[in-house]
Amino acid sequence: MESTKVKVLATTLVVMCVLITAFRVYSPRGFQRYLPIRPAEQRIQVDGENWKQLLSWNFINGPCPSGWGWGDWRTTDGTLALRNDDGVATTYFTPVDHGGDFILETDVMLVPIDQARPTELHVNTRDSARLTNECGMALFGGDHHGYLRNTVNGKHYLLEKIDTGIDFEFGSWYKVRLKYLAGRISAFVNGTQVAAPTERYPSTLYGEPHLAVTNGIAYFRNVKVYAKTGYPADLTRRSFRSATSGATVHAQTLSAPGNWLASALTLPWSSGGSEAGENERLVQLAGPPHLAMTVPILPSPQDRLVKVLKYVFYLIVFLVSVYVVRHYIFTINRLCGRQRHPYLDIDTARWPKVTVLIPAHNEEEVIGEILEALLEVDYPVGQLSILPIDDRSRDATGEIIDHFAARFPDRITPYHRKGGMAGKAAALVDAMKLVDDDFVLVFDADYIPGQGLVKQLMAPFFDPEVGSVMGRVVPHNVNANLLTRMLDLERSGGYQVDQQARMNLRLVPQYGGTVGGIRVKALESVGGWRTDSLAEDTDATYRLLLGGWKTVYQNRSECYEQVPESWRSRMSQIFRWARGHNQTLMRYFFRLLGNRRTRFAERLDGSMLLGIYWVSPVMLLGWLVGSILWYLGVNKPGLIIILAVTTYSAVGNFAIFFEIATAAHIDGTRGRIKLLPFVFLGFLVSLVSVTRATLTQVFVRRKSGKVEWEKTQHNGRPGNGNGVAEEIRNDIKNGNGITIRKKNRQQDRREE
Amino acid sequence: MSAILVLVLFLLLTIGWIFLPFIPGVVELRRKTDAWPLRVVHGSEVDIRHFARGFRSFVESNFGDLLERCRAQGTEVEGELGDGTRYLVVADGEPDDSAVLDRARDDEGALVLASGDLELAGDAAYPLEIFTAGSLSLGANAVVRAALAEQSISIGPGSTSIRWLHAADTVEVADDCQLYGRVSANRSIVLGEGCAFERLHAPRIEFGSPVQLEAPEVREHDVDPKSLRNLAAEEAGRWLFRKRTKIPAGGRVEQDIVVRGKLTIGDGVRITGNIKSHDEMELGRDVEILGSVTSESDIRVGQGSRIRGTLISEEKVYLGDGCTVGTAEDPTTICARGVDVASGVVVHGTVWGRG
Repeated sequence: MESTKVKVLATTLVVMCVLITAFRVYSPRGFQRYLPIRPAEQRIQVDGENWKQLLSWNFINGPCPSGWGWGDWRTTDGTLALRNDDGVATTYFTPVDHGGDFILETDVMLVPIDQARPTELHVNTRDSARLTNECGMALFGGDHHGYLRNTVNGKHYLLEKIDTGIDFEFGSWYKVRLKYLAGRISAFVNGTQVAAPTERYPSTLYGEPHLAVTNGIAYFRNVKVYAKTGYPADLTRRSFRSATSGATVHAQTLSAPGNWLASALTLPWSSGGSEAGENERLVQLAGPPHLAMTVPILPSPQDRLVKVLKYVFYLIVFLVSVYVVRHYIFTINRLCGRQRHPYLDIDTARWPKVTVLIPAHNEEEVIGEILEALLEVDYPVGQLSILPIDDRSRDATGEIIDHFAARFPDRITPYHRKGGMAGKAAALVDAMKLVDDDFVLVFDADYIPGQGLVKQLMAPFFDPEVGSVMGRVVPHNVNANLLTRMLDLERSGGYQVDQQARMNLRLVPQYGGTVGGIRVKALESVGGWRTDSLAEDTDATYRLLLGGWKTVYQNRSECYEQVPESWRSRMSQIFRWARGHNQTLMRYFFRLLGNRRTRFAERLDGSMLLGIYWVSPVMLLGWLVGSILWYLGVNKPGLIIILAVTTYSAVGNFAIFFEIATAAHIDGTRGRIKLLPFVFLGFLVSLVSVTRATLTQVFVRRKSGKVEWEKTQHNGRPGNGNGVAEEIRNDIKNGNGITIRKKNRQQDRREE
Repeated sequence: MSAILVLVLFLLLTIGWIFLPFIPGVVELRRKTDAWPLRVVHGSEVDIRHFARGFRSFVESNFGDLLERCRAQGTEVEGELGDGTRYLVVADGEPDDSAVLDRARDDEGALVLASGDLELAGDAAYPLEIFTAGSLSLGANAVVRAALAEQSISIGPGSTSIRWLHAADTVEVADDCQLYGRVSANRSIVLGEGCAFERLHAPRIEFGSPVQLEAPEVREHDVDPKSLRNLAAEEAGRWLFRKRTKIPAGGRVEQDIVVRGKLTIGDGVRITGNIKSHDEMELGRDVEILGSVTSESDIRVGQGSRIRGTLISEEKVYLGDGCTVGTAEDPTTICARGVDVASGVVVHGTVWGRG
């Protein structure tokens, strides 16, 4: 079942990737409308010749990657705008290496600034800043004349005035094309060949197509560069090289836009017409230029979208980075900081009365061992009461408890809960009515407390500020499989580093619901256990924090637990934790931020701890936003790389691995560090489970509003006590004729 | 080289790079060299008598008969254990053969076991453990690694214990001794002036000579929390202060007190609850606290004060003249990074300065 799901998931991912890629490459209308870069292999026919497109840029999302220029230029509203007032050309280079045969094509509109001086448009290419080779065409605004020019190896072969026969009017869009094929230059305006010298010139290589204007303003869009289809592949790959000249001037402001055509910028062309050969889409402006109106530069919808997404992206990167830093701080604190164990040395005291609660729902395989272990703990006998809760069990849990109670009536008080709400919190609420002591310790049934554990967990309660205490959980079934070994490492990192560092830094250690204790008075003062919470432990931690109570972590108070051995069980465990945690986040996040009983550091750490299960979906959202931005043409260097690095740091080699390796180092284990790379797989699984939990929590609301409780499955394990549990089990089996039912546990997993 | 071949090579290399770090993990998964649960301390190793009990078991199992024989015959026996450790078993009193005893003092040392009382000369070092079925008397300026006495231990001035000392009855330590590790007694420990210690445990621990003190005259009164500075909350049986506060002299408080700052307690104050401060805590003279005292900083206890519960500081504890901590019925713990004790102080329970 599990492998089928994995296969389906993997197949879906692969199919989606293929579809997206195919859509991107082949769809004429889909993504391509927003694609700044056409597929490099797109081919067209011009004058019956085959050409390969190297560049198609519509400036909707800014200049070409590595594009550069000098003078007063900017991209706005889907166009490239060049402005020149002083007769020295304002120039913009597209970084495409097109070789000897090429076509340069662009839509262009000229606007005059000083009509006393001619506005001149240049569509050129060259080999380098030294101008050894350069060829191109110049056209004059408001005129039908122009020039063709060609310089090869420093020699001027051509400087010829041409008559285009077309008046190049200001304020109108024209499609201009310069073609160079086999040493012949030809020029086109709006698809009409306006100049075609018959002379052939020596062939050479060009690689810096550029657009320029003098004494005026020129708008460009749909700049395209083609090379011959036989153009050498190795040269084609040099496309988009970096700018080579030191003269790059990114003048992003257009200082005096006054005399522009306001209407030109608000007409439909501003949304971009990007298809090749669409002469019919060129917009001719009506009426003469309006020389006195100020031009409003309005961002296009795409610009606004990109802007919003960019901010979202930066925010995500920031959040992920914050969590990375948090991991580093915790780990470095454990390695180099001062360690706090203020209550560790308390071994002699007037120990207070305490009740140990053991919620048990169908725990016949393990309940005996914990009762046996608790009977042997080092704590004054009269001060310790054991209250096992048989929570609607349908196996022999209740009978085992009764047998123990019969043998130790002064120490064990059984509580059989026959009905009521499902869930540990509900069971605890009911059991608390039987508790007279000031303190309770809570153990899940599959835990085995050591002899000194109760004293260690009770010691912090001598501090009147302590509301709850948490011990360290250590996996017992490490050896079972890869999952248990990974969980062993994760638990090490979580407790040995995370929890203890929070203790050291006086932040917010978390009460984990088992191997821990609660001051009853404190819990009651903040409302008791909440039955409507999926994570009653986290919920209690935060309510105690808000009430001015501290949670203390006792790293040396270790207790064995049994971790899930199947991925399904693990995913369901994470799913429940994530939902419970997020529930707590929604309830207490803002209250915590405004709480005056806590220090700023506690509020900060507490908020981050609350948000921990949001990191996964946020990270996935980051990847989605990053991809969208890339498709929208925001290819700023490093944008994706930044997310990649922070993600890697958050779940990959750096922060988490560092933390876990440190925990293993402190624990004095070496061999298990070899499994560190596998932890990455565990995090991927967590990523999916947590995201699923969070998204379903946000978008799928349960109609009933009831809490859905899911019990983590445990496997039986051998006891390590003196055999009382085994003896009692045998009593039940044989003496009383009761059969311990091996139930189908699947049936009991999900109950309300 | 064809493009497909290059692509295949590239993919293979990439996959290789990805899976390379997993190889040691796969090997570990197969061999399971470190696949056992982390060791969890089930017992009570924190018990100060842990080593003494272990040593007693060792002596009983290895030397029980020999000690009995020596006591009966009044002889000394010298020998060597299987691991090469030398031992010297004496009957009672000071060993007769000083040459043998010298070997117990050399660099290698020897276990010294006595079936009765044992007197060891000072100005000497005993590198291995000492056991006496009676009392142990150690001369001045001696250095002893560890000693277990089934009755009392008496240590001369200027002596040093390296690891632990335990006496079934009392431990008396003369002035200027250095007591590293653990010192415990089932009845009492008496420390002279100028002694340094790490961890002490006994039903009664006396520091220096008793002092006579006069209780300050104060007017007893119930404290109204609202009259105190920086009260943040009064709930769940405790007063919570957001900053420093002071309990006036002679005040009576029947609540827990938590102060997120410095706590000053005036002379003659009586508090039945527990108290805690985030910053320094200063207790005046003749203060009585029936609960525990906890601070994240220093705790200074004025002379003649009495604290019944635990005394926990994350920095240092200063106990003034004639203070009492714990009671004979309810022994308790003092733990801090350092404990500075004046004369006449009596502690019932454990004193632990982690240094």
